[in-house]
Amino acid sequence: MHGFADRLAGGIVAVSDAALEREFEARLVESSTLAFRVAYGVLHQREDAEDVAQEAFVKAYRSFSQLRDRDRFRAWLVRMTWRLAIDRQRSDRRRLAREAVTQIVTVGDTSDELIARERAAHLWIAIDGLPDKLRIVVILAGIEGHDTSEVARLLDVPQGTVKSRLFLARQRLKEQLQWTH
Amino acid sequence: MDPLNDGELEREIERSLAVDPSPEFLARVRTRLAEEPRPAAGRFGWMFVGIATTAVAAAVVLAVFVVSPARRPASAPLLISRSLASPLVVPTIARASLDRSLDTHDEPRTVLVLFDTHETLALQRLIANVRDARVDLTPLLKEGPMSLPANDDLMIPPIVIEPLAPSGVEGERP
Repeated sequence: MHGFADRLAGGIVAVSDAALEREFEARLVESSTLAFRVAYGVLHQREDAEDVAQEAFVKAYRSFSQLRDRDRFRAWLVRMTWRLAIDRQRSDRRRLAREAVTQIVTVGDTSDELIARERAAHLWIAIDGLPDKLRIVVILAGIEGHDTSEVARLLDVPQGTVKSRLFLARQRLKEQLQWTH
Repeated sequence: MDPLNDGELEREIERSLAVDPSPEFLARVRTRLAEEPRPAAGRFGWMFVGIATTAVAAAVVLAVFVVSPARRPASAPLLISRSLASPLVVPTIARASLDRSLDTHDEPRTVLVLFDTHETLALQRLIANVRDARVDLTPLLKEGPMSLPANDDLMIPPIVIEPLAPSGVEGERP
């Protein structure tokens, strides 16, 4: 009787594990770029963003079975990645600043590339200067053309809140970014 | 310097964020995940053990209180512990005051006597084995009562208590 119970429990666990593994693999494939870009929007470094996104996936994997509403996975992942990226940025701000300078001025760049890099750097500086609530809205709205309803779903806030925050953020960015075309 | 409009700003941000992870990224994540223990197995295992334990406990409770209600006395019984050394007689205890306080029905009060479980089982087995002829008690019956050794050897010397003899005058330290 005991052996049968053990076998039954083992069978249930094995089936559940296999199903969970498959589901997580599917989520990993569909959300890897999203997590990477959220991290990149904060850290502006591919390697750092990949490290943070990977860390977020590991955390998500550990708690995946406890996630009741699997449809909320992307929102869950985005918030986790965001927090990890912000933590990384705050703990390593000086190194990132140094690398940003070396990235902007690279020997051998043509003038167009140099201008583009400089504009991107200015843009990131302006975005980094926004409060976190506005900053995450700008970044999520800039990823893969997310509309305000998708951003609202990812952040679990009303769509009107997203719209007002996006409007405010763009106003502030436009005040800071005045470049020639 | 032209002022930046919303569309241009939006495109600029999208362009800055249009960076893809390296081709090795997914493989690296999978490798990292493969090193992780599988938390789901333990969780479901413990969940199963919990469910099984609860189910067994519920079944026992059900068997005791629902399936065999006839074994349950109608009214609260008096629980009296008795040793097997005493005769197997169910005592009728006159506890008038307690009976008055407990008596809510007209049916006769049952008195439960508690015996040690092991002794009860041993006696039941012995009786069953004798009845089924698995144990033959005739040699014991033929021998008659067991002879006990005489207790003449047991001599307890009387205890002598010597009176205390104070060495000096009473009230003085020697």
